[in-house]
Formats: sequence, structure tokens, C-alpha cells
Amino acid sequence: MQASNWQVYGTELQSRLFIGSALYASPQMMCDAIEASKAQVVTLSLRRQIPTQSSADNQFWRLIQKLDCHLLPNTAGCYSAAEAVNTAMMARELFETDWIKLEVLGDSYNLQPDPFALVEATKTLISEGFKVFPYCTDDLVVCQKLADLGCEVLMPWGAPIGTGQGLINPYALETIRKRLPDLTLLVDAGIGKPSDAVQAMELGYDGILLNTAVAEALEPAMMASAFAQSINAGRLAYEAGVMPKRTNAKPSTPTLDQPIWQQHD
Amino acid sequence: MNSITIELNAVETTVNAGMSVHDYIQKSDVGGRFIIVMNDQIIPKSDYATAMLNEGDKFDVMSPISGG
Repeated sequence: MQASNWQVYGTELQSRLFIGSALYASPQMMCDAIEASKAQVVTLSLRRQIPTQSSADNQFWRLIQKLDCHLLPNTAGCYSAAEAVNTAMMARELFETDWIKLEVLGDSYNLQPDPFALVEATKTLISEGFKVFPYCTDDLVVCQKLADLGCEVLMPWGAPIGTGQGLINPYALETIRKRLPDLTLLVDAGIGKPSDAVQAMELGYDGILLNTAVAEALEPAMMASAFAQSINAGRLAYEAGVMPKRTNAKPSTPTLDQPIWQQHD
Repeated sequence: MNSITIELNAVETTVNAGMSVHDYIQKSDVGGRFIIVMNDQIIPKSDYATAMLNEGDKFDVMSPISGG
């Protein structure tokens, strides 16, 4: 069974996995993994072209085009609102999309988003017509500010980028889900294994964005498939309605008319 | 022939004076999917023939790369 379709900024999607295009051991492994993931959105970036590497850049671009996915360019590596806005403008021109995964980092040790610069850049980009996908921390108030600015999608972290730590603060993520019920939410970064993704989806998150967990697996295509299935399973579980936890045991087999009844303490 | 110095992808480079962006692209290794950013301004493709390179210009060729 497939979980329900969903929408991001008016675009209907079936897959709830956004996948990154970085860190794969080879271009072919990247393609195989992205295809196995069944993702319909791929993240990528932009840099200065080194003339001697232009053929390699061309190969990457040709492969990405063949995958026929929606492109979500990022502003990775930006440490100020101005840098991020500038990079977003270039990305829009280069990739011909108004979607932008907005990353504005505040700390180079754990690559933590700078919430103040993120809000500032978001405000500018929305006024310039961008559809902003902000990569943010799991701070409820920052998420509320971003929503107030007009973001329809928010992407709080599960853990710092590339750590594979899973959901460090499920309480905070669940609070964001409950307080912003109408927003589209993805957990972006920190996912290490499929059970992390299931956990996020069972909390009611609409999707997952990941890269390292697939690219650094021993078998990236196999792991991509595992994530595709786990994300679907987590969403199905959320839609099906998870049973409430109880303190005391409750027999699942009926005890009525049991032929031999033994009284236990 | 007169020459000028520009900052090409953050590296000082000498090119012929009087070149347009279009001229430069034709004579260089620039290829594939790219955009041109001059002095932090994106140059639309329709302006390549008329946008001229001047002494000290910051000239960046931006291309797709992988990203997460």
C-alpha cells in the first residue's frame, strides 16, 4: 500500500523522500541510488566552474537531467543572509526554478543554522518570489517566524548534517508538528538509518530529506530502497493512527469463557 | 593587442581588451550548463553579446554540482 500523495508549494508528489546528490563513490552509484529511492526531488548546488573540470560538471548535469526529478538547489556553505540571497538568485537562474533549500549556517563546528540570518534571508527571498524550503533548527519560535513570513514548507534538523544521530530531540519536533498543523514539514539532516525516518514520519512529518545515510551506506541503492519503504511505512502508520500507550497490560486474547480459569495474584 | 586583467573565478587572468562576454565564452573552455556572474550581477544570456569585459571585473562562471 502506498501512503497518500502530498503537495509542496502546489506540486503534487507521491514519494515523501527528498534525496541529495552528493558524496556518492561514483556518478553511477548516485544514479542507481536516486532511482532506487523513488525520490521525485533531488537536491544539488552550484559552484564556480573550473575550466579543466567542465566535462565532469557536464556529466553530473546530464545524469541529473536523465533522472527527471524536481530540482531543489541549496545555498550550502553560506554564513550570512546576503551570501545566501545571492546564491539563491544564481541558483534560480542556473536551474530555472524558484525552489530554494535555504541554508544559512551560524557555526562551522556543527553546521547549525543561524536562525536570525535565516529569517532575514527568508524574508528577502519570499519578497523576490522564491518558494523557500528553510533548513532550520528544531526551535518552535524560529519555525513560527518562518511560517509567519510565508514559508509553506519547513525543514527542521533531526541532528547536525552528516552525523547520522537520528532524532536528537523528538519532543521538539513533535511540538513543531502539533503547533503548526497546516505546514508541510520535513526532517532534514541527521537521519542515519531507516528507523530514524520511520520515527519522524510517525510523528506526523510529511517527508524526509537525506543524503549521507544513503551515499555512505555500503550499498547505497539498497539503502535508498530501505529508506523509501520505511518512509512509506512511517507515513502509513501515521495515517492509520497509532494506538495510545498504556501503563498496564491488557490481554489481546479474549478471556471470557476460558475453560480453565486460574486466579493469579 | 591591448589586454586587461580580470578576476576570473577568483583568479587574476589577462584577456584581450574589447571582448564581450560572448567573445570570452567562445574562446574559453567554459561549457555545459552555466551562468555568468559579473561583479556580483547575473548576466542574462540575452546580454552576452553586449556585456563587455573591463579592467578589474570580477567574472564568475557558475555551474551545477552535487549537493545535499
